[in-house]
Amino acid sequence: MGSPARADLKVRNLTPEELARNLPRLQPSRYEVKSHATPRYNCVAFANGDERHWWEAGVFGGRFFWPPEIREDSTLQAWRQLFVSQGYVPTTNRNIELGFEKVAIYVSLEDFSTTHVAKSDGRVWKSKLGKGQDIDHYALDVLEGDQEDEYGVVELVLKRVAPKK
Amino acid sequence: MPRQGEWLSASVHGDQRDQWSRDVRSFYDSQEPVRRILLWRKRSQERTSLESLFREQAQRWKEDTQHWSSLLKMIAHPSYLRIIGLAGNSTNREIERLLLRELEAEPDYWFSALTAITGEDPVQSEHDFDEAVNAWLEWGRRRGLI
Repeated sequence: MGSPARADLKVRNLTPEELARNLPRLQPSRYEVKSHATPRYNCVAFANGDERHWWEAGVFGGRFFWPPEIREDSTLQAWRQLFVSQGYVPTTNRNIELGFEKVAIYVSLEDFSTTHVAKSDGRVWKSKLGKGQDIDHYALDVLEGDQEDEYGVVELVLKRVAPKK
Repeated sequence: MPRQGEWLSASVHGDQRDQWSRDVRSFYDSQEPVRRILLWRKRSQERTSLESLFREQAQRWKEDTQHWSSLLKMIAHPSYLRIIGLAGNSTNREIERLLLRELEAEPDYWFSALTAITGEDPVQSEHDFDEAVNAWLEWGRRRGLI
């Protein structure tokens, strides 16, 4: 059986109201939608430049990926190890820095588990919202919070020198 | 409807026994349309109720998990587990039909629920998301479920 064209699969973009229901600080003036929603990849894949796989430890099959050398869980230590293996180093500077790529890891205030990762290309923060769309946002705090089902807080920021273009 | 005593006496007289059989058949034949209507109504109500329960749980699951980055967390959500549990109330593979229609209309991670309910997994290990969706839809079409 051949693989159908990817455009065959219809996935609806989340409306601003739907986004704000779970992420109340994410108001339309504070982000821009940059892609169509898709369950094919998640925020971890997006931060690693992969739009074909869902990156998660402990799930198996062609649609998933997790680097074999990284510990197999979704703890902050595992995600830190994942990005350190890509050349990132921890930083205390949460701001966007021209010339540096950054990733910001969010953890739940309930159990300290990882909930989300945003990336910066040195100009703006970018996030893939679960199975929803990719967005550009101008601050990390639009996704922070412990009300409803927000992503918690940014616990760790890592950076690396951006490749020269 | 003939009573049991009438059957006993009919066992002595063949003609009466035949008449009793005809009476019994006629009685049940006359009740058959009513029985069918009641059965159809019961199944229709069960289907409507199952479908509305499914829609309610599927909607809640999508709303709650839309922004989550963990599939393991998503499939442990109470609504996802409830949908798998609905298979116990499902007749004629209705819950499979509903899941496959949902997968076709708005592709999402329904694969684990389908595998849990059917005991089958048409998805091959190398399949990506799109191929996994299509493998399940093809599986449903082959069985006349969609």
